[in-house]
Amino acid sequence: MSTEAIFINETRTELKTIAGVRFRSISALWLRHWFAFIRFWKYAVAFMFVEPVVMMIGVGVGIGRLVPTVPGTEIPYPEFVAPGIIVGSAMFVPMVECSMGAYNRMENQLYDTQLTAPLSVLEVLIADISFGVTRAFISMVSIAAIAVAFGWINEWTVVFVVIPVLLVSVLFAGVGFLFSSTAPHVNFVTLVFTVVGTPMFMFSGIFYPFEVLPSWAQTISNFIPLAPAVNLSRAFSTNAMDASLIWDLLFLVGMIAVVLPLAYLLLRRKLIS
Amino acid sequence: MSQSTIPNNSLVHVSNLVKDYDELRAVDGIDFDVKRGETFGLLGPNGAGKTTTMRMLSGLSPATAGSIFVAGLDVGRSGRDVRNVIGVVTQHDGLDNSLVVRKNLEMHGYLAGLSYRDAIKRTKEVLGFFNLEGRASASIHALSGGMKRRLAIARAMMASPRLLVMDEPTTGLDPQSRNRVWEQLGALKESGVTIIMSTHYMIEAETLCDRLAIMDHGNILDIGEPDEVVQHHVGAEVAMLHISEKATRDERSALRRQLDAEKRDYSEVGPRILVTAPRGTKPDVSTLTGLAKMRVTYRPAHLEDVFLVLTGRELRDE
Repeated sequence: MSTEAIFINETRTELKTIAGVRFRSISALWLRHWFAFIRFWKYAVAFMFVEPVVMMIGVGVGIGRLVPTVPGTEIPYPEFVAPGIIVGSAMFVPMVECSMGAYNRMENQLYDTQLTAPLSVLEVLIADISFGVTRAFISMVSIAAIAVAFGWINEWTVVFVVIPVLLVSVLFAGVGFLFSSTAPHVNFVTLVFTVVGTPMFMFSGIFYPFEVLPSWAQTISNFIPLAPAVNLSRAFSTNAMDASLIWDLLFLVGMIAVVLPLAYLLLRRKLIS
Repeated sequence: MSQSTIPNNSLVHVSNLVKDYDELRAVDGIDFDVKRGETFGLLGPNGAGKTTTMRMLSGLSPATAGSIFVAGLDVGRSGRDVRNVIGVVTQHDGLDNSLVVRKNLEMHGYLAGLSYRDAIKRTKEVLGFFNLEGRASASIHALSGGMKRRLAIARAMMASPRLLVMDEPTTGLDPQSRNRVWEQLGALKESGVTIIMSTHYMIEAETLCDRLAIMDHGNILDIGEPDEVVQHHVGAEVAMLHISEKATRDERSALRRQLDAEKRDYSEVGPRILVTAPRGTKPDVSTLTGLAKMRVTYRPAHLEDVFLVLTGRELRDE
């Protein structure tokens, strides 16, 4: 084949866009993330399965021995904690992806290179968040599978846990971008775990019911973005649903409506100057 | 600027382009045209505004004022369509360390809009052209600097762009790798690809560019074919005054004063003074006093001299 045939190609196919969003940009970036993720598949498998197993057995069996049923409820501790750990992981996994992962891509000028192809910052944001959501779903499935195997989840309504997992993973992927796109250096990015991740994980009702907290702390807990997700997840996995869950859903959707546009503006400011 | 005023044969049309960053004016109203099939160089020292110009050309940075048309498309309005016809090599290779060589190319081709099958097929062709077949499954970390640069160019060529935009394609490479990159850019040029490149290596500009613009402080100081620019600013030959170490400070300043008085074009390069005769053939330095303490040699003028004369003079004025 002659060089000319390789390099001169005047007929490029135009790809479809819907509402100004080019689907190929999103699928291609998602695929790039997938290949990067599975390239070292042994680590990926360890990440997907070993960590949740350790967490579930450590907390469920270990602490579960000390606390047979959660005070104020008749729920055995592992059953109480499993749905919380699912949403906790749905927070952490995409947040790592969109804070440290995204920051590394910025530092390596990878976004600059990607943007030389016909794609927009919005498509980059959607693609990266989608991949965060994908990884959250993988974690969800592996944790839920373990919980079901141990008999800690017995209700079919657990399938609705995908709803809080989806909302939480989108929200905290966005939060990850708030940090990566404003970070002056890498130490700032790690703040997302210290300031957001760990407090959320500890104070959103994953490990104990809010009722055990003093009343002032209970008031604060109501405004922790992960708390409504824990509430939803637990209601679904124990088949204890009621109309008040609507408020939890609306709260999460509202948070997303605030965080994502902000993440978009900050990312655009970071990448296009 | 309406599209109808763009010359017929020009692929890139830049007019009155300005870029401000807060207080700093990085590009200060530049104009140029790049013809189809041409290799065009932006030449200038660091901070001249080359990278900013390249980023605006590729739609990665919005212009403060002025316009850029690529293949008849307004970069400011239809950035996505423009990036459909441009391949860009950024200054830092921007390779994807998480993927092997082959996947870097496949993913970029797919992102740019090739079908997955075409992306795989094109990857094989492009790897072959850039002599990287043997490295298809290698980690990016395992590549030498020259290979990384060739891979970055290969990636930009994945979607068969009509225009290749390269920011300092050989900065930081050893001479062998640089030659290799030049050979391959030469072959791309032969095949009809239009290239815009920035560089601060004069020899690179002389080797590859059909025409070039010399930039400094956000302005274009001159534009033309390399020979033309050299002849215009420094003439055919330059005289080098090698001043002896024995010359005193006073003797040096006296020489400078005499050069100024005779309205000579000269620039100082360490212990040497470069005297040029714009538009002429050979500078006559026989009138200079103190010749006993210097050695005079003549050599053919090249772009480096133009660069020193044009940008060096400004430094001296500051």
